[in-house]
Amino acid sequence: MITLFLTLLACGAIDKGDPLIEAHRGGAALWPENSLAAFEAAVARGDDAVEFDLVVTADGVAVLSHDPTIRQETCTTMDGGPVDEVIYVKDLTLDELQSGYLCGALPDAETPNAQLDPAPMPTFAEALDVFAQDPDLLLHLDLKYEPGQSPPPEDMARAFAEALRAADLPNPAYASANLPEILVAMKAELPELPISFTTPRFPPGESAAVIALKSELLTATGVHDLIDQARAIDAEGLCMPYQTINRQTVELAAQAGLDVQIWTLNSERLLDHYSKWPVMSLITDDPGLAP
Amino acid sequence: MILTAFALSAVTSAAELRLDRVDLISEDTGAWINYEAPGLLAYPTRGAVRYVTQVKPVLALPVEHLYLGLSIHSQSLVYERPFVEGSEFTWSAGLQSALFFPRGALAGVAWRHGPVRLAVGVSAVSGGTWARPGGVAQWDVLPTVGVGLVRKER
Repeated sequence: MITLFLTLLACGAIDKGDPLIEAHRGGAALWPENSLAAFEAAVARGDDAVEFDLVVTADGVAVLSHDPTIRQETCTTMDGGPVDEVIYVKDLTLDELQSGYLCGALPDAETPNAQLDPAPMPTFAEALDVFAQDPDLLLHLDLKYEPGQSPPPEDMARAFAEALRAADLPNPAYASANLPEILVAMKAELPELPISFTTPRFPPGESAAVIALKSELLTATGVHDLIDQARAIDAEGLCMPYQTINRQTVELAAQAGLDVQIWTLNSERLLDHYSKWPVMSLITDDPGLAP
Repeated sequence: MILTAFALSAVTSAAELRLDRVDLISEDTGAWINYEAPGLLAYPTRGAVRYVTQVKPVLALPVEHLYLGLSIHSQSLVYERPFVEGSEFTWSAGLQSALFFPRGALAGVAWRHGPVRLAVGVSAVSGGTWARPGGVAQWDVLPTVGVGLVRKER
């Protein structure tokens, strides 16, 4: 028995991985998140992959923003004043958005060392122009659909697909989101684009700790099954935060043919630990921390 | 967890069961020792939460040598007896479940010395759950380690 025990350990009963490293929001620890400056730097560094967030304006243009609103923590008005009210991107045309606000103008508490580079919120098309410089760069489209705060998912998916078709890049790409309806809409627009189900979902205003603990309990007892949830929407992957990810889920997902992405790993220790897991990619604000 | 152990102790005495021990590291599934313990330095919070879910009170059933273990993470029904009557060294084999959904088996050897029980073994666990019964086709075999505090006999 003891021999078998040691043999299992020595033979690597636990599989090793060799994941890609994704620059989260373009590398938010280095440059303003979701900015052209961040994407140009990612291309210059020769990153494996870049992750970015997409929303849609009132006139149906895909633009880059993590939130459905103009982010008050990092954006200002054109004269440098604060964004005092909640302004939804879906309520502004592209012209109103780009002529009225600058993002990357204020230091972000989450990534305080990022260089400031105030600029209008870029369009998806502008970002794709940058990505065209590196045809091997994997593009990770994070579709930020929030019911009531975003256009209908079908309209959003159409805007994203139109930008991708117009750019016609050779780059590999996949899309992720935490609500099935936007992923299903994206699959309908671009069946060849792989999709990844992001879970658990952290809705704005709800306690992340409570959500994480609930997810933990449901997963530990086997009440909650992430693999079937992903399969139910024909997803090719699962995108999960490291705080809740479970090695057995990763192993089972791999056996079921699903790719797994882990976010957001912002220390050398975390990146080193998860680089040994059998996952597709690790998402970090600073790819330079990866082993 | 300690309260659960006390509560179980009270209930089991009435039902002619008795608390045998509390496994501080459970042999069931092997998930914590193999997957969470190596990541404790990288992210201790998650490892600590999952540690709590695997701490397992173990009841001695009225049938000799038969034990029932209950934790949030898994439940097990194990037959454990000494290699030689009166020996501190035992062998064991049993079944394990997730929320009582049958999901695998375990076997091992243990050393019971005073208040301590140390064990090593092998766990074969499927991906089957109530939410995904089809997961029984996917199997994982892991080495396991057990550390338990044995209840003092009166």
